[in-house]
Amino acid sequence: MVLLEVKNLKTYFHTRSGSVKAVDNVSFKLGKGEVLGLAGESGCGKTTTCLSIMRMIDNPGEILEGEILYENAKDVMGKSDNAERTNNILDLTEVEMRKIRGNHIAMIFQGAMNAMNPVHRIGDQIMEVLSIHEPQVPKEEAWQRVIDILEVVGIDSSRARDYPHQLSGGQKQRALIAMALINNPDIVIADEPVTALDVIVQSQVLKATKELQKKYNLSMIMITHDLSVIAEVCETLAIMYAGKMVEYGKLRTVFKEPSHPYTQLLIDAFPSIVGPKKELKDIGGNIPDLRNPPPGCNFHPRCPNVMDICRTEEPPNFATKDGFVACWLYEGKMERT
Amino acid sequence: MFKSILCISGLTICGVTIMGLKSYIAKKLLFAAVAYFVAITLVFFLYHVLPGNPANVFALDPRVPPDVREALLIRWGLNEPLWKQYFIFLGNLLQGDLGYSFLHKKPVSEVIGVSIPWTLLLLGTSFILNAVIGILLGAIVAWRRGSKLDTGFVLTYNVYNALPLFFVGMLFIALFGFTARINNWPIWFPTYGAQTPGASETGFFSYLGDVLWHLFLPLLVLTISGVLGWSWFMRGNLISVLTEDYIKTARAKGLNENQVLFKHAFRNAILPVITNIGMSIGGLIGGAVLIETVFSYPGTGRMLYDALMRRDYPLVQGAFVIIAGLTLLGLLLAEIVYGFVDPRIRTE
Amino acid sequence: MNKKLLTISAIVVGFILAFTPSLMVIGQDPIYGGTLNTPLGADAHALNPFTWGTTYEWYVMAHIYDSLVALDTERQPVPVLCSGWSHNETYEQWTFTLVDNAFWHDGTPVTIDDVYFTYDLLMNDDAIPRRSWLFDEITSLEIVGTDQIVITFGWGPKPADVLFDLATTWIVPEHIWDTIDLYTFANDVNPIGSGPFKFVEWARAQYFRLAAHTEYHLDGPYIDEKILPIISEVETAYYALSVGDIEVMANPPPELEAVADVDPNIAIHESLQDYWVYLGLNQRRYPNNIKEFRQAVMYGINRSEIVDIIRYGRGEVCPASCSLPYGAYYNPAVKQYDYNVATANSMLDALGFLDNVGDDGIREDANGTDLSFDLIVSADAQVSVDTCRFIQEYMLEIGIEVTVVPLIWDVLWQTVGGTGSVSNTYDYDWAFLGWVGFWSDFHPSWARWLFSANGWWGSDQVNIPGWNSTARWEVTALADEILYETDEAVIQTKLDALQVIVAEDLPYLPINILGGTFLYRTDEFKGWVLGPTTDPDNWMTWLAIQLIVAPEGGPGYLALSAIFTLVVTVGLVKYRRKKQ
Repeated sequence: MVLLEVKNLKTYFHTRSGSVKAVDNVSFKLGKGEVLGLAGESGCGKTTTCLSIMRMIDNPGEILEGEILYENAKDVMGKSDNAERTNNILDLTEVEMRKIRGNHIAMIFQGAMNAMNPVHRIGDQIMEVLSIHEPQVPKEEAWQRVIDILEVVGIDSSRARDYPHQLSGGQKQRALIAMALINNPDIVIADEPVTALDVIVQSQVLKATKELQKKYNLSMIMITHDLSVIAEVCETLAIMYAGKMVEYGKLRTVFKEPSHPYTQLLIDAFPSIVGPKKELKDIGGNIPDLRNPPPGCNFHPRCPNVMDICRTEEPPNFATKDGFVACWLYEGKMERT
Repeated sequence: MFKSILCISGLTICGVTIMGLKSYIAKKLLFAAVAYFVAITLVFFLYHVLPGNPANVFALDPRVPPDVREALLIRWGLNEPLWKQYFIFLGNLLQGDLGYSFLHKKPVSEVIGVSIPWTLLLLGTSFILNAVIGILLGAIVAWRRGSKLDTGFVLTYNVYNALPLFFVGMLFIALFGFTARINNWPIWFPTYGAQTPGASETGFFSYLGDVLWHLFLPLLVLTISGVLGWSWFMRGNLISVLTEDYIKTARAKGLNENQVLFKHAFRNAILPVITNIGMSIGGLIGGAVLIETVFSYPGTGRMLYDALMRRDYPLVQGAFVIIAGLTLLGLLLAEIVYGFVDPRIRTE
Repeated sequence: MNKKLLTISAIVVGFILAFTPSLMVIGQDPIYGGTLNTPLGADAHALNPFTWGTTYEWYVMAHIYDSLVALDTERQPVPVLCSGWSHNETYEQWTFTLVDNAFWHDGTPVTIDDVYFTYDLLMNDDAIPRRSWLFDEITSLEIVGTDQIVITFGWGPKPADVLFDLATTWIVPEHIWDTIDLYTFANDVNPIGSGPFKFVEWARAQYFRLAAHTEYHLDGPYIDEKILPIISEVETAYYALSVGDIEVMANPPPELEAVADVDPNIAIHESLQDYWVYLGLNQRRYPNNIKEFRQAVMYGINRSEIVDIIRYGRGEVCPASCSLPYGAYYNPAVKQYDYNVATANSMLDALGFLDNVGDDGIREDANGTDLSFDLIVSADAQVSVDTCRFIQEYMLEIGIEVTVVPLIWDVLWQTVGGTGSVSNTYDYDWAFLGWVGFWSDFHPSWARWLFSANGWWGSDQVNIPGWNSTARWEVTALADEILYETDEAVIQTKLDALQVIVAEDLPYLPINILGGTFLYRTDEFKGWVLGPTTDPDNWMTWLAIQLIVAPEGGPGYLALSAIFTLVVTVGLVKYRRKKQ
């Protein structure tokens, strides 16, 4: 069952020297209980895609076109006009959208940094989510739920009255997860959740995340530039490059048989802890200037397999075993989707 | 049962909290005391080492007769070696004796005592207005960054800052004191002084009105520049706080913009403002000297300027001792408030 | 400020002055009553007649205290607390008779014991700062009868010396001053005098309130009350005058004076002050010690241009004899130094100071050293610095290079030797300074105070110009002879001779005499008509200012627009100065 579907999303940032095409025609689906990994280099539009889903794009950014269909969007609408409206959360009013945020779709930011407000107690910050979305819950009960959820994510209840600076990086990340989970959301979006943590803590947090995801049957989008993180928790994987989604498929398929030259390079660029030793390669060149992307395929200036057509025409999506790839290499070999 | 657990945990944590805060305050108190000690030591030695030091003034001033000079030299220990004089100065200070103004022929504390209420009235009111209006205005313009209001604010700030304070003062006097009256505007303000002669005999409320009426223009000039300074600072802080991750977290929770601003951004943005208080006190005192002169206001700034011009060194020294004390007191209060507002300090 | 800018502004102000009507209210009869407001520029300190320091204290106390005699506007002594005086043939014994109807402000009568107490105090304590030298010469004081005091001197001082100095000695009430320490008495709560005004209130740094003394033994003041607000900025005082908060102010800035002339309700009163500025060539150094060199420099300075441009035409060129030109002792037949570049150049040529080396336009002295001098001046006084810049340009025209060095007052005063410090090295070339209050217009002793090597200012210890030619000793001898001379005609002759020597030898190079200006509202006060309460000098005549009926007066739109342009100009000029 598809819970969230993003269709042809375009989010641009308007600057004085032109529009930055941060997210350009991105489409994907997220099923119930599915964990989607969103990978790519910094600045490729992963975070912008997710912030677009949250509708938290600030000036000068703008969601230009596309649809974001959310299965339970109707829950937040006023009863009267349900029938005529679609599930597109881009059509929701700001007031309705606020009921989505933190309640239906929660987002976790990088916890080791300052994703938690330094001047409020963590318990209060977690309870705040409850008090916005379920103001009818009495204070003591709300506090009990905060304590419970903290226990669930593995934080001692006595820490509820601590301030963020009193927690370790891993604990902060757990607290953020608790904050995201306390209202039983349908979807949790995690933006680089473990990036600044050391490897051992990283793996603990990821394990805990995975357990919780299974326990609550959560749908998740996990943004990371670290493929090993994805390998640990995700089932599906989407690779983004320069604002576009270049490959999408089951984790195993993408990892074992990467179709897009960029995906292949990306995987080669990461060490594997368990696999045989291999030489690490870096991808030459930089991501293009998104105000003036190159004609044709965005990746063609760096692509080892570049062909003439890549320089002039944008590749369509070709269907792979369980996803798609946007590369002219598969013209004629695979079906266009 | 849960409630009691909460209370107990609260209590223990409160206990820890108070302990942290206590040692923080104790540290700050100690620091303030040391700073004050250094400040008055500097004041003392500056005036004894620089040319025109009190001993020379007493020795050369033809207006001080020999026996008075002798008595003063002994009373102030000016016939003693410098280090001994210093301890006498400290000893006198401990007894609240700031010295004797030979210009006014009165104890320094009495002379300062007359002027300081006016200065506190002017600076205190201005300070409170600066803080309250400045922080709110800064928050508003930062929140509406890039709007017409914000552009207008940035423009005003830069224009006003380019104008010297005394020039603005003179302009306001010309406009609201002079032009307004010549043209029979409904409202005008006095161009000089702190009260109308004889106003104190007209009853409390009419006297109060008269004092506030005289206070208005100098206060306005000081407050405009203060508010602009504070809000400029606040605006910068809030703009940078608004890019922090916890603001994103707060919005991702579903909070509306006001809740984000007041519950999350505001308190963080205000922390550096509190530490900035010390700086603004110094600026305020500097501004007060100018403003008190331009508006002929009977405050300590103008008195100090007069004492400097007339080389009444005991009075200058005494005024500096008081001003240094008030400044450090303000700083100390700011740091204690900071300790209460920023949990990172209280729970260290 | 450069010369060009000053010249332009002087022309503008002159233009405004020339084309505006001046309306004076003349010939109206005075009306009694009302309050006069007139500002002080800074707060006074202790109101102590024996220790006062600034003119502000002096001005306030002049309302409260009386002396036995006073000087009228013609500088002639008139009785105040005494009904008359007499002296013996040798001027050694003077008898003053006290009036019988004078009262202290607390209601007790003024007695001859009060006069005795005051003079006895001054006679026996030479440490009192505000004390005439006259009291050193008194050998005995004696009360005769109930209302006479006899003062005996060791020798016979001239009437001018006795009466002028007693005119500046205030009488204090014995019943208050016999119990206090006069050195530490602030006298700020309720000073009791016998003068025309009673002290009412002193709000420190804010204002003084004085009320007419209704029991005053002479005709009391016309007005009921006088308020002296303390206004720091002279521009603010001008606004206060314009809107009628104050009725009289002294020495407005010249820029605003022009505006005042446009206002039909404000009149201007001008006078010369006993204040002249001079160029001091340090004669301890060559070639400053050469008389002809000093004269050449004097010829080379366009002093009337300085008065016209820098002083906006206020005041006048100071005679080379350093004597005020309007007084009784002025000798007009002394050498004049009208601006003449040709004379200056030929004198310098004659001295052999030619531009031999380098053809740089700068002459060299006999040693081959450039005629190049540092001119030190007080940095606090912008007008003085401007004057020095003018002098710099004039000197360049006659081949002398001058570098203007503004110094803070303390350093300047120390450098020129004004402090009388024995360790002074007098390390300067030229200095720009001024003298105030030598009474050369009416006091025969003025030249002795200023020039005599036996006096303080002319002594080797101070002697600011470093004057040491034979002329110095001639002047000293003449001045000392005048001190003991009683014959007015002889005094006049000797002072005439003295002035000729000074003008020829030029110990000082006097530049200009400063002008004093008062602005007053003609719609509320009549102005400079002296009432019965005369006072020592012209400066003080506003004590006696008279109230008249206020006529109807609308706002002066011309004045308004002129003020706005000037407010901006003044602000900018001040800003530039502060920046500099």
